[in-house]
Amino acid sequence: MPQADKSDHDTLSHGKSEYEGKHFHFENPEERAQILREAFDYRGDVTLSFTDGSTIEGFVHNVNQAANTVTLFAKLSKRESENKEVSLDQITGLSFSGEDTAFGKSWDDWVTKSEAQRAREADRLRSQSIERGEL
Amino acid sequence: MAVPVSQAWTVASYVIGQKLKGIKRYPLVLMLEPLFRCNLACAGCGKIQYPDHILNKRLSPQQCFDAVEECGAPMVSIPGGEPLIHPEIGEIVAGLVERKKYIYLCTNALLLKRKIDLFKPNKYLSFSVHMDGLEEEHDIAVCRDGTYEIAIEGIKEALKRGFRVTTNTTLFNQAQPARVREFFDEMMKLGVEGMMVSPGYSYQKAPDQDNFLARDRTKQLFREILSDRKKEWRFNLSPNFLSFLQGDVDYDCTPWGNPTYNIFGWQKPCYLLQDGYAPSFKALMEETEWEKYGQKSGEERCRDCMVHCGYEASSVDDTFGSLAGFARTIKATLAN
Repeated sequence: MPQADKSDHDTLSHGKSEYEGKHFHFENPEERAQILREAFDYRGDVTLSFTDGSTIEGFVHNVNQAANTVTLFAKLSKRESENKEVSLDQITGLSFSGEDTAFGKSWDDWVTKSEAQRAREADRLRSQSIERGEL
Repeated sequence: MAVPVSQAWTVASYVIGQKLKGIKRYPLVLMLEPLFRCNLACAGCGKIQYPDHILNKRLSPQQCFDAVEECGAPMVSIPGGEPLIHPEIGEIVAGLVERKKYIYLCTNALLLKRKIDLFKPNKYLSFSVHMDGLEEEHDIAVCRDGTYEIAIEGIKEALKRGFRVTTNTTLFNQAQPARVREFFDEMMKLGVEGMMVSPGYSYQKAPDQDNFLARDRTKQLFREILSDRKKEWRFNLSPNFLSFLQGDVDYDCTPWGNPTYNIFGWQKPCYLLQDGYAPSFKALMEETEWEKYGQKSGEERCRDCMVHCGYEASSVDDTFGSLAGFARTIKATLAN
């Protein structure tokens, strides 16, 4: 099985994702830097709010404090997105608006499920792969 | 020998060339991830946990060729995701063969029989089939029954058609040395060219930490597996890396040895950690603060890591770095 990497969550996921659904309005640059670091680690989409009142939803994949930029794949639809770079200092807030796709996906989460649950989930994932023509 | 002489010669001349040019940091294997989508969903796998619009993205063949040329490494590993899902994987591989790169196409082999006609047997191409043990262990690790059998069928078909086939295996703390040894026997019986084994990545914040190996346990496990090693086992690894896994030699990580390129760019600093992305290979090499990484740096995420993508390059560098390193390699080759 491939190695784990960017996922940043507890061994066993209980309750709900730490960030999913949360909204932050930045009071200062330090807070913005800290939340953007969390957004970079987050395995779901976020919605950025800007000084001009606009918003962009997408997956943040780079935060460059030195260059004052945030790079994200901005969503065009549920299945499509385009690469976009925005100015970090224009961002006023951030919502963890998308599903945390890493949540509940640890090995320990898997083995604590009953055999029937695991079989159902394996069947569901297999069916999805077949639908996409990947099996 | 687990790799053809031409490949060993290409790698040796490349490394010696880098040394003669005085280049301290050079890439050995490019980890080219053309997509993250997979047709398995192994629990704990951090490569596939993305929203759909990210999983639907693919590197184009041209992006792959540009990355390969920019990087210059003599070997290219194509992991993912599952590369055989990529609609242009045949074109990508053909382009890399044309560029005389030694390719390890990492696959779970679920699509191998169906897609095999996209490829032609060639000394530059190996299918590196993901096998995490015998049937029971493998199917548990990948969270789906029946996967082992399909992979075995894929391996047999590829071998029958004259392809180079290797296996890649990640070992976790529940691995039983006797079963792993039995698994090696099975793979050799199938006729694969060589086996790659690596411990799982150990990191405090990893999603399944209990399942990953701490350093001492890693060494103990590999000593139990590899001591009294059978002569017929062939490993697709440097002899020094096998010594390192058993605790016979100590290395620090070479994170730039296996640079990673994917839809986000050049991943900093290595295949396992994501501290950001560089826009070019040159920027990756020049801007990454390499001294902050590796076990000896004190970086906690590197503390227990002994994974091949960081230490195989250290082992190879040791071989060609000094006469003592070369002698170590000879000794390890004979001992193994």
